Amino acid sequence: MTKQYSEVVFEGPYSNIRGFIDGFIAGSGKEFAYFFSDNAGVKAETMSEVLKEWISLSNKIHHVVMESDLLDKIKKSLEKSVDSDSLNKASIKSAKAIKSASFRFKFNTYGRKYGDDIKKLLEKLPGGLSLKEYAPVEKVDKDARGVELYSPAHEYSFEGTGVIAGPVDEAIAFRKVLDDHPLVDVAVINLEF
Amino acid sequence: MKRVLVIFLALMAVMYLAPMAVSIGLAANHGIASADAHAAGAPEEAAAHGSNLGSELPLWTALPFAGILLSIALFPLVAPHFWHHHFPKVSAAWALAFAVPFLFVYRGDAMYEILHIYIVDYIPFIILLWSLFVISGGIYVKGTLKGSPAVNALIILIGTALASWIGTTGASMLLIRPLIRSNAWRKHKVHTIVFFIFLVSNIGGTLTPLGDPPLFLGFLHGVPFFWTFKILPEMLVAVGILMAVYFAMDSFFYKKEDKSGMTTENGTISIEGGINFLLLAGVIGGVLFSGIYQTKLGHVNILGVHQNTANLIKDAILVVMAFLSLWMTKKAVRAANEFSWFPIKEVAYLFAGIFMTIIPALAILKAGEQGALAWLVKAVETPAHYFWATGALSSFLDNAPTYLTFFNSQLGKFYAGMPEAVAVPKLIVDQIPYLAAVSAGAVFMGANTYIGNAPNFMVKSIAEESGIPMPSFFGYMFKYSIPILIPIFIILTLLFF
Repeated sequence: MTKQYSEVVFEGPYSNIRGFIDGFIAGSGKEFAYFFSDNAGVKAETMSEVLKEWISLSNKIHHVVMESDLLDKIKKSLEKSVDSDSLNKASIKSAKAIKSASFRFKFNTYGRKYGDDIKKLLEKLPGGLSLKEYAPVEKVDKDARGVELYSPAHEYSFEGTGVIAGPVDEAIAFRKVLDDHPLVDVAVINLEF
Repeated sequence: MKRVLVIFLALMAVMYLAPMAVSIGLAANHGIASADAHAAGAPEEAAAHGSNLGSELPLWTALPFAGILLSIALFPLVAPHFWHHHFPKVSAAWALAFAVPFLFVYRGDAMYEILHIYIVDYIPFIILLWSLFVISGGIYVKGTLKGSPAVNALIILIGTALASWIGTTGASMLLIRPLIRSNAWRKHKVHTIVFFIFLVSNIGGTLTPLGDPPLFLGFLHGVPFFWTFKILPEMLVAVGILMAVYFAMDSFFYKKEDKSGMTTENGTISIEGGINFLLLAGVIGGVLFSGIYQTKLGHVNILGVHQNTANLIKDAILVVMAFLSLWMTKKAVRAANEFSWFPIKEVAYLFAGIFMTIIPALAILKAGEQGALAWLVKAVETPAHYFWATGALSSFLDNAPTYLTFFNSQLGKFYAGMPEAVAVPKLIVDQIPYLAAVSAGAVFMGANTYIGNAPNFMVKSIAEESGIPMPSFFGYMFKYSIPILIPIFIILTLLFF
């Protein structure tokens, strides 16, 4: 069964938030997944939030994508806790359940081997993910084979754009796979609530 | 159209080399007696063939020259496949756009000018590039190294040193694939290819006329073979700074690499087709021979144009060396290099057009302040001006015709009206910083863009086909050449020009 995820906005120092979540998961004895949006390539801050941070010269707003079960447990735990300087119930500024996630990608290659690599990546998408608006263009110009000095043209070219959409955890993992490929450019992940 | 051009080129080659076979002895006998007189005789030849051309021709006659250079610069960027299939026609169209009205108006003088530039410049130019291309294409560097900063720096340094002797194209062809293979496991390798273009495909070709086509054109016009060693200090400073920057940059990226993907820990490298190094020595010997015996063996009259016998012997040596290379090198070695005739055909077709259309530009510049480009001759005054003017144009137009243009503007500036055979020996002695500035500007700044020098595009193309995401035309400029090369050129200007 697909896990439900939420985007949680925390206010506080990064190390406190990270330490709290890691400690909480370790203490719970269960395995939960969470991602800091900045590190995972998820579009997080709205323009107004960015401006607010600039104006206040603070760097305390952190967007975290986490399993909704984990969020519930953290919320309950913070409600019981006494107010402290580190983290308390007021540290959670907002939390929204994520319906789905999507990101754009584009690629451009002039080697058939690399074109085949990219095709393979896109053919076998991890469960739950789907490929949308896919527009590949593959061209072969036999006359352009070999090395040129003044009239460079590639014998083979394969370029395209598309959108990957689906569960946020799968989207984050697959975006990293694509991002690690030197010939694929990926955009940030957009969340749908 | 291609067939017509091939026939034209073949006819030119036959006309060029055939007289040597029958008249070499005669010319030699005549030449020994009149070797010194030949230099003085050249002005008579020029005077007899419309030496006022430069002051008569309007500036717009150089439009086809601008047109062909802009075509070479822009078509690969905006319409690469059209250009790939039709560049011979475009070249021929620009050439005819100048040649037809030129022949119609100036008739005999025009024919002489055209024959002169093809016999004295174009054919020897193509023979040199062809022989270097054939010979360097017969050498294959086999094996894979580690791709560490030290190994990469060493490969680039070897390429830089080789480029002056086998040409920037030859050195690039020889080493780009081993460099790519050694770095196949690395994620951060674009900067390595860019520095390879800076150093091996451009700056490395500074020291001899074999290194870069502009310098060979200078050699054909009387600049001695070893004169270009005068640019050694400029080259060493540029190479030293670039290597230091590269090593620091590559070390930074190397630390970030996932070393588990490294394929070869202690790879070895071997060379196949090593016999070609000997043939390369033959090419160097042939070029040196023509420099030493330039006027001592007399000349041969080819269709009314005097060509020195020593140059013809040099060209014959180069042709023999190239044929020996074709005969002695295993086909598998050339196949491993993906050797094909296409690159040299490109050079032959395009330079056939460039040399035709450059005639009015050179004539106007040689006329100095009497010509339609008097403003340019006056405006470009100091060596620093020449370095940047030649360099700026060499960044976007081919550097060989750019060199020839500014070389002639110096002749027009300092020795207007004086025959080239008399003016060049003065230029290389009395105006060293000026010619050094033009030479360095043409060679170094070809690295500023992909279109500045022919091997740049070749290296980019090979890298892209090997899965390396090379930057776009402007990405190359704004990420690499402007922030890295331009400050170095400013330092060179302050130190040397």
